[in-house]
Amino acid sequence: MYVNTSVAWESLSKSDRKYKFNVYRFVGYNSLIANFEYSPNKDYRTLLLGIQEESSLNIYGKIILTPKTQKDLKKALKNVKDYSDFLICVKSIDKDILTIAINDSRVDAISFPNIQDLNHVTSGIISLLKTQEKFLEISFRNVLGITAPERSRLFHEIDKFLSIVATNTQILLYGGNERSIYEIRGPREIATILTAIFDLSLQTSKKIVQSNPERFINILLERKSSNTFSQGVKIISQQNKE
Amino acid sequence: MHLQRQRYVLFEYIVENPEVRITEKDVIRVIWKTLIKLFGEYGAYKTGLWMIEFDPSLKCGIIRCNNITKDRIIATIAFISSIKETPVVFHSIKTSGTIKKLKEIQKQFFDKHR
Repeated sequence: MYVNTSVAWESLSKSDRKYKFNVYRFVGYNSLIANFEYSPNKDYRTLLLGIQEESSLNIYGKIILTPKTQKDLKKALKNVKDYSDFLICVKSIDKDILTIAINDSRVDAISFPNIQDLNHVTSGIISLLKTQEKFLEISFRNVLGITAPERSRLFHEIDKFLSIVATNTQILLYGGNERSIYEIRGPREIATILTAIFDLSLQTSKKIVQSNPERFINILLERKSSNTFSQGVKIISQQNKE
Repeated sequence: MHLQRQRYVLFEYIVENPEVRITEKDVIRVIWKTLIKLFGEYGAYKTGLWMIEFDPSLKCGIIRCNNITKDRIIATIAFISSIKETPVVFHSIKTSGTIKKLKEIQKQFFDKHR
């Protein structure tokens, strides 16, 4: 199963949205995680139901918090605490905000959609993500439609970043976050780019594109299941116990 | 030295403006251009790239390369963003070692999806 963990859709019209979801199916995705930019008075559930009706793909929701200060983050996390059926993601380049976000149990992932921001990811943050079992989401959308020298520079940034994460690839997620329909690339192509250009092993590339996004969705499904009534607390049957 | 075997890659594409007529030559030119841009002239000649078949009505085609550089070809296809200044999305469907098998897959795929 291939999952695109970051689908930008809020600025699109209904027909464009339908077309975009069709393109995702065309390139080989089975499930999508739609991005919802955080706003205090937004009804995320109604919006998600609306887009779920527009496509036959499995669509899940992810609320993205973009706090400017630590206070903003705490306030936003308080406001989204009732949305346990959504994944919570934090987008920031501030080291202190990232540290608080990673240590908070309500946050599932941190996101870096711009490759230029990847130099803010330090080995300390990676280590913290690993111990807290959180995910780090990256995107290659900036790589398309630019000149060769600019692309070389971005490749260098990605290569530098991947060399830091190399031993901790269980935390990496690839989420497209494509603005235009024509920036969408299939999961198979992304895995091949990671192998052919950044010299990762095929196993590692598949982990980033396939198994880690699956694990990411499983967090949500487990939380939604009737056996789990709060994070980390699950009812197990007597039979299983024995 | 590794023994080189041939691989056939089946690909398809979608175009923003369906009125733009895309020919086999246009596709070959854009693949070579992107390949040279990404891997240089040396890397490009090593791939042994050859267009075997192209079907503008189904918007798909088959290209031949070798087993060692197959990944480079798929990566190159992913980096194609426009043909004749029209945005496109290229997508590789399947890779096979024999053209006969790939044509069977192509037939099954297009019967199922179109």
